[in-house]
Formats: sequence, structure tokens, C-alpha cells
Amino acid sequence: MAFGPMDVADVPGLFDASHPKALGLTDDLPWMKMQTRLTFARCGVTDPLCLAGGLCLWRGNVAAELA
Amino acid sequence: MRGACVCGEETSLLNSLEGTRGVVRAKPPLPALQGFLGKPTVVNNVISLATIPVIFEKGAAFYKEFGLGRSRGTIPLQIAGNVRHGGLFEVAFGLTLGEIVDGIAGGTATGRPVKAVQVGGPLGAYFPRSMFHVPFGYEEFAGADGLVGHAGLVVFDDSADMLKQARFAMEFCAIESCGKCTPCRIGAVRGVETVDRIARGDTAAIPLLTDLCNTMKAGSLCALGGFTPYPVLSALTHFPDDFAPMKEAAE
Repeated sequence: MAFGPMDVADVPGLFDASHPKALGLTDDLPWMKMQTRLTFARCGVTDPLCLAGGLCLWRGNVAAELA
Repeated sequence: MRGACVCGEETSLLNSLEGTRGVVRAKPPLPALQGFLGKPTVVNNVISLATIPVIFEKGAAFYKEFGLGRSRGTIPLQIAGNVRHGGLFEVAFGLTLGEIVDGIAGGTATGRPVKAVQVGGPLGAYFPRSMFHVPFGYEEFAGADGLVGHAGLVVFDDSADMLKQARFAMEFCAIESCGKCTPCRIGAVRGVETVDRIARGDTAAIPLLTDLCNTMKAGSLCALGGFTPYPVLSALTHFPDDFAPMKEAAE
């Protein structure tokens, strides 16, 4: 999810069901949709220090399911 | 020297890594033959390395499908300066400069007309609106006496003084120079002085500045002194009015 522009006062509300400054899914923002993200495709999605790449995300999902 | 712009130059970087002063090495020998501690060394930009995962995942042919001419794949544009929408924007090579500046960046933050865009970094050329048709690609920009560089774009509105920008380029070079080669070390200092002469109305200094730029371009050991002429000469070529004597400009 993307939010903004944020002030310090907007932070606590992040954990509520809806937020007045919510912009929707980051991938769906016009600024992102106009792009062709190849080099930066994984930026912010995977663990940058994980050599297994996409697997880290998968592991994260499994961890979330197990929790 | 740590932290100087020139420490990003590959041979200065190797000297920094070896714990010595970050000064440029004469080439040859190329680092690929004698680099770090005299051993063969390949120095890549981080952006090149960061592009490897997608090529490994989807194949070289997939990556090669994007782009224009010999400039394949995508380029992460760093849009900054006086723009409405700044930031990192990754896109395939091939958009025109105008599509990037007017379309993606949305023009200036001040709402005034765009006067110039510096493309490539602090040593990139300034492009006027009349060159906004140039497609974003290595050969295309080189053909327009500019460079893609690290694909940074800095946008200026019509209040920008291009003589001051030319002076800034020479000043930048003088500050960041490692001092090893004369065209860069002395040339940049003389360049600032020469631009100041032009600013005072001395038109005889204009051919001198052009001559100095040619010397720096051809005689410098690395891209710092070698590329400083790009912003200087592009400002002089495309915005001659900003270099005209003040009394004429006032009339």
C-alpha cells in the first residue's frame, strides 16, 4: 500500500482499516504503471541481502501463513 | 581525496581501495589487465550489477527486447531540479527528451517555461527546448553533443542564467579535480576566470573558453576534465544570449 504525503500526525492511523491519505496499491499508482521496472522490479519487494531472491518473499509468505 | 567526485572514476577508486590517494591512473594499462593491487580487475557500475537478476530470471532476449538502437533495456531516470514530478523513473530507452521533461516530469515546479535540461550528471550537456526531439539513447545523445551519463536530468526554468551554469561546471571541476593532469587541474581554474571575463563583457574571452574546452576534452586523463566542456560548451552554443556583453543584453 502507498500513502502520502505523510506528516508525523498521520502515522498512528496507518494501522486503521482505512486511511485518509491511502493511495492504493503501489503497483497501481499512475507513476508506477507508466514505468517499465526491470532493474528496480524487485526493489522493496524482496530481501536485498537474500541470495535466493524471490524465494525470500515466498518464505516470508509461508511464515505469514504459519503464524 | 575520499569522497571526491573523481573517486568514482575506476582507477581513482582502485587507488582509494588500496589506501592511497584517490588520483587517476594513466591508462594503459587498463584495469582489466592491471587493476586492484596490480591484478586484473573488472569495475562495473552498481546499476549494471543490479540489472543482472532480471536478466537471469527472464533471459537476455527478454531484456534485449526493450530499448532503442544499440541502447538496449531500460534506464532508471533520476528526474530532479525545477520539476513538478521528480524522482526515479525506470523506462525503456527511446522516449524523447521532451516526452520525459514535459510528460513524465510535468514541466517546471515554478510553472515557468523550461529553458534547459542538463542530462547525464554535473558533467552532462545542457539541452534547449529546440532539441527536445532527441530520443533517449547513448548514440542519439552522443550525436547531439551530449551524453546519457548516469541518466540524471536537472530541469531549469527561463530564469536560469546559463553563463552562471557554465561557471559552476568549471568551479565543480576545480573543486573535484584530483590534480594529476594539467588540463583539468589548471584548466578548470582558468575556466572559471575566463567565464568571469565573459561575464564582465570581454567577448574576446569566448574563443579562449572554447579553445580551453578543447584542450580539456582532448588532454585530460579522465572524464572529470574530459567532460567538463560538455556543460560549458552546450551552454555557450545553445544559449549565446546569456554570454553576450551585459550592455547589449540590457539594450
